[in-house]
Amino acid sequence: MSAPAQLITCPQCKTVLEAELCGRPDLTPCPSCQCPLQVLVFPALFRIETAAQPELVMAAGEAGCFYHPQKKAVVVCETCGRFLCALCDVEFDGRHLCPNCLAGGKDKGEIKKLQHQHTRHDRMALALALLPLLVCFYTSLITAPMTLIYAARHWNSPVSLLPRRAKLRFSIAILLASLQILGWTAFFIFLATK
Amino acid sequence: MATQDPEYAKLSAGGVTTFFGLRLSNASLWLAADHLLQLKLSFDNRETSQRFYFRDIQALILVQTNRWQMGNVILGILTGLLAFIAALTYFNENSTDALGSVVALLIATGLFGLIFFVNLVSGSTCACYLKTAVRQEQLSSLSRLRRARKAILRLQPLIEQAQGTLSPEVMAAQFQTRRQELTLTQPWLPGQPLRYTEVIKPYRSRMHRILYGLLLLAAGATVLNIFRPSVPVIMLKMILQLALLASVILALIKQDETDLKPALKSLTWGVGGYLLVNALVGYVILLSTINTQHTPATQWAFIQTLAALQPMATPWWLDLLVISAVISAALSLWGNLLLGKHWRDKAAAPPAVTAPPPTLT
Repeated sequence: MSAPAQLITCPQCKTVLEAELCGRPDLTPCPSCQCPLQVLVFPALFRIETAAQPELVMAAGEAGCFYHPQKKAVVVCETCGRFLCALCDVEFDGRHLCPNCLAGGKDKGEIKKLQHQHTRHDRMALALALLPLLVCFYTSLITAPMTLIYAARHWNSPVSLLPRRAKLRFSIAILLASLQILGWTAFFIFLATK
Repeated sequence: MATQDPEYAKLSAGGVTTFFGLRLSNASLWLAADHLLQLKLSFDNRETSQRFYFRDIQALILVQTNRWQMGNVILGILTGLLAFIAALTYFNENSTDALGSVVALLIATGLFGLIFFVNLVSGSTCACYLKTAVRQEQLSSLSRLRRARKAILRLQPLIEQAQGTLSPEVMAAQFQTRRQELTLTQPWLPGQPLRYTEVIKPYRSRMHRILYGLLLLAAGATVLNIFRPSVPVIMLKMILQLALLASVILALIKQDETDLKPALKSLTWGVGGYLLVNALVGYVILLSTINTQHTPATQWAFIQTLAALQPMATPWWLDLLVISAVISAALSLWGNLLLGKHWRDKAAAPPAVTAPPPTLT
């Protein structure tokens, strides 16, 4: 639980901080717990957000909202085409969407900006290739082919929001796994010929 | 091919300093044209992103923490101790077995020394928080003061460009208004700093009293061990050690988000650290001492070996016991004093009152 939005509290002792403590260039002790802190406050702290107020349908023939038929429609959802009132209109990334399309877009991964979690497949592949070398080499008999399959399967999967050297990690993982497979093959050939 | 976002520029990258400077998970900060992106990479290789739009950032709060000093002290002691034991082993033992032990000890010394050095040059630690209307998020990669200040210097103009600046007069007036609004709903002690009491619970537990009492008993048991080492004394010390560990964990849980004095809270964390270091140092010294005699096969044999160790005849064991007894007694005394002051202040404080509503003009 945190303090109300318009309050700045000391993260250590939750004491409400005074204006004199904010905007100082150096660390200043908290008046209560004395821990040194620096606070920078911006105008958004005092901005009052007002919720949209939808208008009622006044005349016959005026379109009503799909979710609230008694409210006047002001916009059309750009994904499903449903009429939306001011309350249901979600403006996101320059588009007008209804809450359902927004939730659906997030769940299906269609709206990229709403994606907040990625599995780093490149690191997984590299870990799979490296782990047997560090822990128990015999497991590489299983993990090396697994690494090749994993890397091939996720070669083109998105791994991050940022430009990453995913291909480099995948390549190292493939190289290591290939070497391990080669080593095992040589070992088995040696056993067979012996 | 990975989805690429070329507009991001790295603001800060670094580990979440959670254990004496060792990087346990990765976090990084990236700047875009209109927002700040925080990426956290967990142990299972899942990368979680959080966006903070410049127009929504209400405040940046930087708090200096004492993890740097604590890390330096603990790592310094460990490094020095290991080096000392290595030197002792080298000069006292001439066998080839001892050479192996010396090499192992030197490797451990080098490892701890390296971590100590990295921690030392990295500078003071801090916690940086970013506040928006819906949450206050810690920026985990800004865990060192120097790095955090550099990042804030880059962030501040971008936020001000998106929101404008606040004059000190406007800020003071707005703070005053908010404070008045808060005192209408929050119990407030006149003359005391105003706290957001919804998150501050009154401390009612007796766990700290038990903990600091047990510390005194542990100090007494250690003194007894110095003069009369025996199996019952060793067993008593072991039971007290276990009880102390349990009580310090419970005390740390009980003190969380309560009105207990910050100094007492910090001291309890310090006691936890001391118990861990004490256990570790005792273990290392005992192993090195026992190895020179014979290795006990069972737990009972181990206790008997401990009881047979004569502190007066083993200088290093004696030093450790004396230091342990002194620190335990000092911590106990200090804790009890702070605890007494806490209860006295609570008894003397006037009951919390809700401030009267401001007069409407």
